[in-house]
Amino acid sequence: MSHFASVLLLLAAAAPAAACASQARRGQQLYAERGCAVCHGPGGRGDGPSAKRLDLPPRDFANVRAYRQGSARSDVVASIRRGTPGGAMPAFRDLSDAEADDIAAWIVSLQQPGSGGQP
Amino acid sequence: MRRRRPGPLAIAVMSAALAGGAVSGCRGDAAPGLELETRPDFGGDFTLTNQDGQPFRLQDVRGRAVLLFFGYTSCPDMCPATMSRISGALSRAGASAKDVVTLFVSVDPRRDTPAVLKAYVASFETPPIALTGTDEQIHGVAAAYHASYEIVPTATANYLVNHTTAIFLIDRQGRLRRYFAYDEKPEVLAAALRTVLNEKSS
Repeated sequence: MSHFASVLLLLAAAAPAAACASQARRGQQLYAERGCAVCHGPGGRGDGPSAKRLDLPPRDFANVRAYRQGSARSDVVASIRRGTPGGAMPAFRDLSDAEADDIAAWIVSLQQPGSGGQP
Repeated sequence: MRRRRPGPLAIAVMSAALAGGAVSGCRGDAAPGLELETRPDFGGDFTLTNQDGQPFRLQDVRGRAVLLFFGYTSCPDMCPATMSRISGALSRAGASAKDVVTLFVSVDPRRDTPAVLKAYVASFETPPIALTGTDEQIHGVAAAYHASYEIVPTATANYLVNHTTAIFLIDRQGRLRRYFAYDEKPEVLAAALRTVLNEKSS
């Protein structure tokens, strides 16, 4: 394989990752703008100032086993848009699908696949 | 009219007075489609305590547009969703903090102390001013805005509070201009904000 072809392949492989990072940055911005940190905490650890007064406190986004509605990005989008039935997460219908997807991209970026602990 | 969302956590109330009729009437320099509230007993100035423990009067923010909302920091449903809509509206309107202020009036003064409110507002990129006060003061402000609230005990220590969920728009001159349902589209809120912001402040 020529050097030029190798570079093209590398660029092609990097593009989706860059797009994901860009989405995650937008999502982090939206997360801060919309006040998600009130419950979820500034870093998504479930430690926002209102969390301790909720009967069902938010989970730590780093812990992939903690997600009640699934930890895939599409699951997170669904939780944002529809809320979590029986939980404390309301439906954020004011967010567009694209905005919810951006926030989900950031949340998923916080996941630590090897994380354990109590869900 | 009382509105209750299905589910154990969902609590929302629109007071009978609010739901009883649209804000109407027109006088002075009100922009078309955004009439002045003419009922003399609706809205008005008030004094409460902000998140820094300092007195706050509505007239302190004269010259800025105001979005006022009754809620409480441990509200599990309506308040987070409403604050998100308000934040989205501010962003869409391109409104800076020097032009628009969001007032979050707590209907849970027992738990929402200034310290709790301070931590709450710090969670927003564009922080609201969060207000608390004595029971009597909160009752007074709620009555002025035809809002209502009531504590709802639960099986745990985390009681809920039924409350009016409307978003009130107050113009730069401190006049109540309109109220919106909590689930109003941010685009609609943003358009109303722009209208108010384009008016002269005096």
